[in-house]
Amino acid sequence: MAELGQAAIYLSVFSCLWAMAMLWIGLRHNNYNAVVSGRNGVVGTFALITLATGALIYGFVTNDFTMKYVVEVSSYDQPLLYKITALWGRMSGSLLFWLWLVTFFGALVVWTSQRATDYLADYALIPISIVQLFFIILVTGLVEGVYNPLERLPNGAVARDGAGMNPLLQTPSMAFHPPSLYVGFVSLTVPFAFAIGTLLSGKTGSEWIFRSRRWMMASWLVLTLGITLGGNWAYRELGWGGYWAWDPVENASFMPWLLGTAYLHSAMIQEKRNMLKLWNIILITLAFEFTLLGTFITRSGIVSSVHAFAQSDIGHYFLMFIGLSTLGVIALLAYRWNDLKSPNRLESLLSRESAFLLNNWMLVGLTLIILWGTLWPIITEGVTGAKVAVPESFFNQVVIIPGLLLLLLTGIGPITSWKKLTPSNFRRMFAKPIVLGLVGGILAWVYLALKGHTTAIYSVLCVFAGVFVLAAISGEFYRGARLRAKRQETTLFDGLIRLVQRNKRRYGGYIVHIGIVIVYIGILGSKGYFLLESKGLQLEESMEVGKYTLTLKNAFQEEHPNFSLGGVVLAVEKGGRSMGTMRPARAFYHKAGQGDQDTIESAIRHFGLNDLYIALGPLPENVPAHVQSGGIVSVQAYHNPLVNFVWLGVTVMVIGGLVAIFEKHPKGNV
Amino acid sequence: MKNCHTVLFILMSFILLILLAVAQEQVVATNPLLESNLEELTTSVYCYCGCMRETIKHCVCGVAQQIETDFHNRLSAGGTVQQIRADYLSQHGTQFSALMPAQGFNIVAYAMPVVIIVLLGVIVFLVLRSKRRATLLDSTVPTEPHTLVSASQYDQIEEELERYKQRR
Repeated sequence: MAELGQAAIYLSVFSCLWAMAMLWIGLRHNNYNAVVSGRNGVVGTFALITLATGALIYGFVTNDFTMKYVVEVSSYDQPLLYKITALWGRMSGSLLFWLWLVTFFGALVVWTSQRATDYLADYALIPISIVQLFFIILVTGLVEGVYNPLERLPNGAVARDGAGMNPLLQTPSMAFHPPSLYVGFVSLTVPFAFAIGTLLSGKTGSEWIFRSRRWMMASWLVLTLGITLGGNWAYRELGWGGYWAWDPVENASFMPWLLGTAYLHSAMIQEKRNMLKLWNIILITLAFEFTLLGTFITRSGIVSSVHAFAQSDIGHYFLMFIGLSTLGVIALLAYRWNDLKSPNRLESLLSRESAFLLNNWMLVGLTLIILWGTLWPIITEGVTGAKVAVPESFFNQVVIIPGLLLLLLTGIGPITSWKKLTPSNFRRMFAKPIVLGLVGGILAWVYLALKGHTTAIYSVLCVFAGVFVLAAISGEFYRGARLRAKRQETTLFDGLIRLVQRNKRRYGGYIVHIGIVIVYIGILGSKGYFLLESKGLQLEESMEVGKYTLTLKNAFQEEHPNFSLGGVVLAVEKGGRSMGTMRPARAFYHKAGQGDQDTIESAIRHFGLNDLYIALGPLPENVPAHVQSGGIVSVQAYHNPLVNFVWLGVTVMVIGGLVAIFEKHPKGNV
Repeated sequence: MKNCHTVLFILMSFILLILLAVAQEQVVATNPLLESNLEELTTSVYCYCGCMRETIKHCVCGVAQQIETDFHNRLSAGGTVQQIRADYLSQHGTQFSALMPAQGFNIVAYAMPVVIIVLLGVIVFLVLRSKRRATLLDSTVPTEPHTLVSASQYDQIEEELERYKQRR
């Protein structure tokens, strides 16, 4: 099976080249048969890579320890779910998975564009095939730094058992977080390919924007989900009570998301006003290139990261591909320069177009700032020779003002009219949100002052902006729903439902904005006002974190197929009232890919919107005996206020995104 | 009698030791300066155990616990925060510093975000101004019908259009 998979990978080089050549010849010479052959080449590449991926999964499931990659990331007693997720557990497999996704999306473009003369989709298949070829070359094993994931051990060797996957990756969230990030990253290739397709074809209208709209929405949505699942994994598994630390890997996923968000807004200007044609192509190119740049940053090892599990020295291939593809896009832009001039002009600086441009300014600015901070260790080492790590506090300091302005813009954009905002419109639309925002800000300031936080200026500004946005968007929903209810003589709620159904994209977008406000409030509470207490506890000893008292009551030990779980039982009290127990633990993996390893199994208890979060320090293997003999257990307890707003906010964002994605554009969708 | 004195001496010494230990324990527990220094120290350096970018205070590994105990002992023995921190960084490397003060070359790191935002702002402003000026100068540029409508009015128009289409 492994040999069949290897053969499929080698054959896919030819099918990919065939697809590119046939599509190019067919489109340049109006040869329909050649175009169809090219399309078949794209589908053929997908079939071949599916075969290769299937062969590797078959190796995992059948415990084929003659395969090098299977030996590295799997073991006999690894649960089936983690045997399958081991596909992306290390470098070679994750590249094969990435490749499979690119080929799948390529085939999807073919299947969804079956019209005889779909020049745009056919041109888009050419850049998709180029990206496929790059990844095929990487997984063939012919380049230095990465081996073919279907390769067997040398000299017909058979390992008795595999090393097993890194225990940190053997969690349910890791089964969903990496694939959703990959899907988000890889699906960005399609709107990028449509942009390149429009440049190659010379038909530089807005059709590519309409055709790729749903793709872009889907990428953004999945990326949002993937980033959040990553944060949730970090929160549950790493034991430091947080979900975001501006780690290079986190930044690498966040930067394309920011650029994708900017593109979603600027594309609307091109749709509505036929403006920013050049800028939209640049923006989608940047978003695509940043997915590769992020991969370069995390895979090359040029900056250290907490979760770069698949590090190797293939970074320079990515850098080379980024350089070449960027040069290609620049050349195409220069060639089509005159065709990309927009006929329409801005009528007023006070308009929704301007608000969207300001939003683009902040989003692109934030991306560059984050890139700057991520690369700062390399810059410092290059200039001064000193090794530095950029702390979380640096990022928090430099992103806070652009971040707050961005929050404010999520409210300004929806209530600003296209073309021109007149003074009367301004008064009508802005007065109430501003007043309500001010009231919210003042109340937050008084509340925080009473709690002893007298210099919480950013918190007050965040509450002001949050209330402003909520008021602005609620006003939009209310006015629209009332109008519909009145016209169709129905209830306000029914009017609201009809309003959303009639314009899913716009109101879905507004729901996303509400979600963003909720996320901001969650970040404000959990990052700004968390409490951390650490203490070594013996049996029946207590510690306090905030209003909660934790008492060590017992210890436990559980045996699982590939790990043993040892932990303690802590009784939780608040104001003398029992709130139940919590069971933080540590899991000891005896067959971990990186030697014997233990992982932190934090105990998290939701109290309304707040969390009580407990992680344990190192423990001996027999925890009950240790505790009963008077041993000390190191307990780290966090009180994370409003942290659940973060997850709630993202859920609202995803719901809004799903609403928006289902709108059919009159000019067609892919 | 001699034995009795010896036993009494040992007993007194033992009690004294216990009292000293308890007193020491109380000093440690209630010494706010030492606690705040320890807090400053443990949040200013990263643990070198392999848990990347986790400060000694946040890291729950055994190495972090040992380091914290060591810091505690050194602070109790009269060491200063700066001195202990400098020793830690010279021993393990400057990349384990969790502080990045805006001093020396770091000023560039802090200044660049401002430069980025200002520079992009200037570009956006120039684009907006040029687009606006072009509109004012070029009256031949075809534009869509001039509508100064709010979002809800726009919605109403859309609805009317839909009804009109349905009637046709």
